[in-house]
Amino acid sequence: MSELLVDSSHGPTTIFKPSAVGWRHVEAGVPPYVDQTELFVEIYREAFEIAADDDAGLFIELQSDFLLSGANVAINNVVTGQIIEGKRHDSSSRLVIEHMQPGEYDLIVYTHEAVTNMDPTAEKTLSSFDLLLQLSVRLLRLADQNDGGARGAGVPIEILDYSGGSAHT
Amino acid sequence: MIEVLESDVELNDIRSSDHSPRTHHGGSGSNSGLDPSRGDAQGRDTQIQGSQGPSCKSVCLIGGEKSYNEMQRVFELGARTYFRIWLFQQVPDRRGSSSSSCANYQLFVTMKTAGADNMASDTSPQFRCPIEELPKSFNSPRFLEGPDAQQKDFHHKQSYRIDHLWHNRAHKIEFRLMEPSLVRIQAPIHRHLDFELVLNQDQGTYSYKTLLRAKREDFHSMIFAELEAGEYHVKFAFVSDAALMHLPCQSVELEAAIMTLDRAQAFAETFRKTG
Repeated sequence: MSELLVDSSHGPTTIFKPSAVGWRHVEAGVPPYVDQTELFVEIYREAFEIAADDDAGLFIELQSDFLLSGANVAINNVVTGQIIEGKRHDSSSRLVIEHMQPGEYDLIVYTHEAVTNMDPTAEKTLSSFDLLLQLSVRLLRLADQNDGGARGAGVPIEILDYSGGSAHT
Repeated sequence: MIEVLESDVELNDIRSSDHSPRTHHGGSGSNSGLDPSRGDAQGRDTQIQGSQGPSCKSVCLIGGEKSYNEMQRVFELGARTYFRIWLFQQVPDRRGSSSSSCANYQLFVTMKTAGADNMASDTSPQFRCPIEELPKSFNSPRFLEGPDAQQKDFHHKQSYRIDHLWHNRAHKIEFRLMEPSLVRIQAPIHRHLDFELVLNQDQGTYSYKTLLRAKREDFHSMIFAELEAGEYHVKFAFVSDAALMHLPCQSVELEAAIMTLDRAQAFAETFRKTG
């Protein structure tokens, strides 16, 4: 998550996952019928925490092809279980939260497996789907009108390097 | 719940049993006022739809439009009408538990006179709805029909009105695939309406078999399928109250894309090169 936050200041992070999404063969009208929830595929999950004095919001944008990838982005509040999803616009999913309550969160990117009625042994089939995603995650802070240029919208990110015992800001 | 009163009620009398709304308690015959401790296993929806809900001495408007955690109610009253607003909640039966249940809520009430100018902005969608109707078929030049009767790809995202589905609470969109294709259909959840997307494979004139049932999951319903050539239809199956569907210009959003498998494979190849 720290890499994602740092890299997003320069541009979106590209994530490529070959054969990340599979398919499931179904026979029309033959039980058990497949339900959408059974096809859920979690592509990416990263935990992060908003401290009480962060006073931060969040901007997330996910670019993916609607037809082949169909990825969605969501934030899960670990304590309350509340899930907030981004809204799709064509091939992007965008989530903007003006102010995050302090606490632990998960950033989740997910999609769904395909169902197929095609013969799995047929030559011309797509039995798995690669995922190509571009993900931007930025922390935001609302700037007061009276602050003028003294206070920007950017939020300093502190990355704790536990192995080296140092911290960078 | 909005209760229209026959006359004004003094503030001191409002708690008396004479002015309390009454509940139906499943054959017990008692009308002992609104008792929040009486549980309803089927939940709030059943309750506010009448069978378990409160009743009034006179006119009683129960329920409203659900939108996420909100319940909205817009109504018009004549001049010099007395009314009061009841907030009620039934909680699970907790026999043996001494703990009481609490609920946080916010109530916003706005009023405006029903003059021609004020009502114009509210009622105009009844007469001029700019949203187009749900297509009956994807087998048209706008969607799947390409030049020389070949199948072409499409990706559309649009809002479609559903307030005209008076008797049929479902809508069917037919499509014919002339070659194996990749299909993705997604509908974001609606503020007031619950619905399912069902993908069916047609087996004959009046016969079909279900491939996938996409129920609401978090913020959308999604169908993603790789299909052999053949006849199919996608069905919007609404499970909401009909009154909500018939609100002026009520609409749903639908994003749909279909691409032949050959072209999808070529497109996926560019993914690999880019990735």
